[in-house]
Amino acid sequence: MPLARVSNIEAYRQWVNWQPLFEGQEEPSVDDLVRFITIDEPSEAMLAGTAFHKAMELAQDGNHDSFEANGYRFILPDAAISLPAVREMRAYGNYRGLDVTGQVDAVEGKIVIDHKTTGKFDPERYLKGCQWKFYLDLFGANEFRWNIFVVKELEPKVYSVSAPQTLTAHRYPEMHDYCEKLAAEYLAFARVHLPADPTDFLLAG
Amino acid sequence: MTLKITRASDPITVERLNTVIYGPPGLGKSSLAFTADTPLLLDFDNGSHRAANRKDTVRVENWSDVAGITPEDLAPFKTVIVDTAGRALDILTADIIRINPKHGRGGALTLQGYGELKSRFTSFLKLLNSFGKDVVLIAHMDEQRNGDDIIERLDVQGGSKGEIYKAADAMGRLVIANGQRRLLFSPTDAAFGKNPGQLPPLDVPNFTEPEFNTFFGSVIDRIKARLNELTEDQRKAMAEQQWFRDTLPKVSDADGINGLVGRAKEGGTVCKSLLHKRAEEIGLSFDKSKGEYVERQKEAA
Repeated sequence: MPLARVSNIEAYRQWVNWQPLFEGQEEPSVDDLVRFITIDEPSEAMLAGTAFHKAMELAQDGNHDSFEANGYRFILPDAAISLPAVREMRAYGNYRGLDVTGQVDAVEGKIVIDHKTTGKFDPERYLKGCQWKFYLDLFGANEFRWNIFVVKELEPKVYSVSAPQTLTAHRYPEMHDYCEKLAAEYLAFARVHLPADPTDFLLAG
Repeated sequence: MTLKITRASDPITVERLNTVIYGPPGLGKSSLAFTADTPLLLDFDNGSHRAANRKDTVRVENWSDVAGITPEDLAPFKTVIVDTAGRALDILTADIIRINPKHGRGGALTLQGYGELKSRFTSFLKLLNSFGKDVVLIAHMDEQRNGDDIIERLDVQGGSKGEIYKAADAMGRLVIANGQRRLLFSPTDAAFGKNPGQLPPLDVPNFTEPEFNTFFGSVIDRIKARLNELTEDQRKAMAEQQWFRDTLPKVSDADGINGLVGRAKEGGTVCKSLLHKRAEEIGLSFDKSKGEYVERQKEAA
């Protein structure tokens, strides 16, 4: 059974709905998307984000001035945040012949929590995405909660972190059908454009 | 600077709701909002006179008109309508720059000024909620073109739009098709929405029909009722997950794990994942043919 990460389906969705951020920006090609899905080429921002997630995963209750992880240092803000004990959990589901998997940062009851680091707070970017819909569906949850941290690079591998901004989204009646439809579109794309061994390549990236 | 990390707290019952209604001009957003329970409309946009069923209204020219609002001022009302939220944020922006000109540059907020905007707008909504009021935020709709597609979203300037997305417990858009106005809460590829009430598309009654008079009040009640059902679901799910977290470390063999499979299935994905993780920790794997966990070497044999 072909297997896809939620993040790759989101990359496909963004590719289909691509919009230029500035005049003259070149539209990504099929090859660009295939490369994104099949080759792990994290940007500096993604590496910093991964390090921050690692720190948040391991963070104990209490007061923290800074986090250090994967060679990165994060200067933390004056703020409070509640984090559930269940962190970094993966779930699987099947959508019209495509197995889909995704890992979330934390789960508490029927609330899924995702930490995001970003240079600019743009709630529409998160709300437009398909990831929260798949995660709610995969985990049988009702509410998706983003803790969004605006980060700024102070010097190489040292970032200041803003107080988290919380954005929520909720399960809605048409959500599962939406996920099934998008998964089917992704599978059709993958069968034509991704390399022959779907298990290897649909999972990569 | 210190980030304080705490454990998640118990879910609380939803008594007050912040709802956003957005839609194109002239479709009757203010009139719809006036059908909430005993409303007071804060008219930041100077447009309430167009509402067909206008009720109590306060025209707001400056932020100081609402900054000192008291529980006594709002005592006769159950719902406060902010019309429009975008214009309210504009007026708040002007007030922030007036108080501290360093918070503005060319009429726009600096980063610090924007922080002030977030803080004061959120505090204002919390103040209204603390007075026991539901809040309805009205926003115009903007159509963003993407090739042949149109994306419907809030027409609010700059970064302050984010505050409305964050503040909204529920968000519906008012549309019209074949002369019938509909209120849609579910998001689509082409529109933003928040539908915690799991509401189907709702036909808005005609202004002349008696059901119209209480229409949005009943919508808010339905959303609250659904959210409170979910709060109860949340309590049960948290308790069950906690039970698995407490119990699993004491389980050390296949019989113990297999004895919990049924309960974990009932408990949902998180409980199943916790069980599976514990099974792997103690050297078990799931044998699909037997439908149970077995020791790894036995499975290989």
